[in-house]
Amino acid sequence: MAGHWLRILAAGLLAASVAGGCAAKGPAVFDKPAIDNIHALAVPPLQSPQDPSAGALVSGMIGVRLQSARLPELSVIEPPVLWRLGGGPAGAMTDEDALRIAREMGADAVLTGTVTYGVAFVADSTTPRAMRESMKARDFQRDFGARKATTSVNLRILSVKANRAVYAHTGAAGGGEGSELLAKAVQAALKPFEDYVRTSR
Amino acid sequence: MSRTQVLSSSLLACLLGASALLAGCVPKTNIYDAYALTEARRVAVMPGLGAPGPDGTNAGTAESSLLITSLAGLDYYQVEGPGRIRKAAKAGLATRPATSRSLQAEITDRLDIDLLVLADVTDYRFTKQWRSASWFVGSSQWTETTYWAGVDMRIVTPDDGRIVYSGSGSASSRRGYGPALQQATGKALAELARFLADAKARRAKK
Repeated sequence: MAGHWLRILAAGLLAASVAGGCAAKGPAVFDKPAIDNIHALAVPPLQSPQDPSAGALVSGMIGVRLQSARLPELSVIEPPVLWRLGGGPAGAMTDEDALRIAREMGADAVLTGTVTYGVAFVADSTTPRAMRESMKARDFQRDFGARKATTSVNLRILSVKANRAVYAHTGAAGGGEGSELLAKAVQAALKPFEDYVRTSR
Repeated sequence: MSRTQVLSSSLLACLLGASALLAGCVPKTNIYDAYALTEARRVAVMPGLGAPGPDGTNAGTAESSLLITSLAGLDYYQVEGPGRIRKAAKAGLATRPATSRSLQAEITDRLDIDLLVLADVTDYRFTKQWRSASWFVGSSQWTETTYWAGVDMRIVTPDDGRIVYSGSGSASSRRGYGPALQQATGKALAELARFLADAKARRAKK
């Protein structure tokens, strides 16, 4: 009898956790048969409307991450970097542009997407009040404010052969600052792809 | 010790060794194409990217200069900045996009550049901490500033974009951004420096 009630309780808890959003959200697009045909992946700069360098920085992090993970039968290709001479990546890249780059480089797919990165200053209450009052609010925040950044990385992998997205997933992170935060968001966005490639080959 | 005990302890040692290997205890390397790295003669360091956030805007330029000096210090490659590539690309970029593989391949081929070095500053920020101490005759208060720097670098082949080396490093310093960035760059280059020193020694033996 007790076992019966325990089973009902477990089912109830499971239903509540799913309804409450505890179940991990999977990628929005995850075409596994198409991913099986990807052996060379081009990683051009991602778009980043807020901070122009963040997108290119994250694409570099992704390139290094995927390459050093040594995923079976997957190599990373760095698309041409002449855009660096002009100070930064030029404007938004269309899917057609991305696929053209992948084709030119002999890649099977190209990774595109967007990055958002914002920093907020939060007053640090541990500093003495007299000091806080003696400085201009802006200077105080700049020098002593705790910085809290939030970031999200939205990735799409476009297959050259299928001419469409075969993977789309978003990762987000917040609370700290710097590359660790970006790395966390990248990891969340790439994890299902990496896990699948690692186990399926 | 009985024969069974000896056998079981050897078996245990074997199992531990195998599980360590399976768990990824095999040393990882960031050198993906040893041949390309040893055969290259001339490398060009492209302009670096600064870190996101309010402090890191110009950090990329500082990192590129630091990398040119550090790579030249390895005494293996002829190292140059992006100047000649920039000059050569001027005409080509008027007719072709900056993402053109053929344009990059043509330019680097003409200038005899074997590898391109890309460096991004991933962290460039400072933190301040309030400190105070009480003494017998009073108290003192001061602030401590820590400067943080992080670097991601990769070396690629200019014609097909293969990554032949990648390295990352991060460091902090109480003295300023310069020492932090220098330490981070040193860490990112450490494995390449060891590899090239070995390659040079092997070459000298022949």
